[in-house]
Amino acid sequence: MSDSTRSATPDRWTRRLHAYSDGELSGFARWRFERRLRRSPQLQRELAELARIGDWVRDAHAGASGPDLWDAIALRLPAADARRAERAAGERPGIGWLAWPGALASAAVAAVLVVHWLTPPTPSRIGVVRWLDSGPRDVMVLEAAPDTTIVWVIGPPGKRPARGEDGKV
Amino acid sequence: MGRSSHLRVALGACVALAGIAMLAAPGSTTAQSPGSNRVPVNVMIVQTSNKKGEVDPRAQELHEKLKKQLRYKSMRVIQEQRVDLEMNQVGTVDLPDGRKVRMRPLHKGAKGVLMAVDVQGAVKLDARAPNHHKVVIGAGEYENGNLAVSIEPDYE
Repeated sequence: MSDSTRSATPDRWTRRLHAYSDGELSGFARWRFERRLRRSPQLQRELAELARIGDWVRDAHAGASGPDLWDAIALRLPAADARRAERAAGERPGIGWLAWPGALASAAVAAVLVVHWLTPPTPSRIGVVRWLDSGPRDVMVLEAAPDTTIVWVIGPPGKRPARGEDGKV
Repeated sequence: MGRSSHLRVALGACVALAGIAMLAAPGSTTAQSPGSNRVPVNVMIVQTSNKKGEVDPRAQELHEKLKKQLRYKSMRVIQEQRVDLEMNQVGTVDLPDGRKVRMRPLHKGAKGVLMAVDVQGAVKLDARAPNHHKVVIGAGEYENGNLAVSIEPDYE
């Protein structure tokens, strides 16, 4: 066997050893390797070394795992969701911007209506008398009081009523 | 509760207040007495005179309204009548000189009753009189004085 063959052979068997150790060999390759393993104390030692190294790695991983933080993380998740929702609501271009103007406009409308409601009704400028026909006679319409209107027909046509010094008809 | 929640509550309260005020406003249609087409009218016929005399106690309220505008020294009540009319119904009251006063309610709304009034031989008019508003119409001369007709809608 040449050097190249000798050096290739351990590499090949070393690769198969690793594959066998990892459970990756199957079928005929596994049978061949196990037959070789039974005959080679060196392979048996190397397999034992690999198994020990694997145990160390597993032990190291087991030891490195710290306290279980999941419970603490899970407790914080609702708060994080709530903060995210508030940020989203604040950034959402909804009708939130209408709140102040809307409140002011509503208050103004309410104030106008309340003032209108509380103040007594003012007499209409149109007046009570809407239409009048006195024929040829002169007539006077007087708003004598907020609740009284006088319609006074005065004598024959063209004859103006004589008002006294007190202004009465 | 956040700031936006407070604003929403304030906005809702203002809108509710505005709605209540609108419903309670006297000019709104809901504030009217619904449905009734009846228009009772108080009619008073008085004679004013320049002869010295008294003011009829029944006409004292009317006298208080007229005395600043009309010149007379006495007032007596000739007739007092309550005329219960329906919408568009014509009511008639007789004057002492045989003439008639006719009145007809045409419309009743928030601003009062629109009435057509005809004082025979004197004047015809349409008047929109609020409830308890007196429309006093001079009906011409009568027995050394003047007749006046007071018409006052008086409904619930």
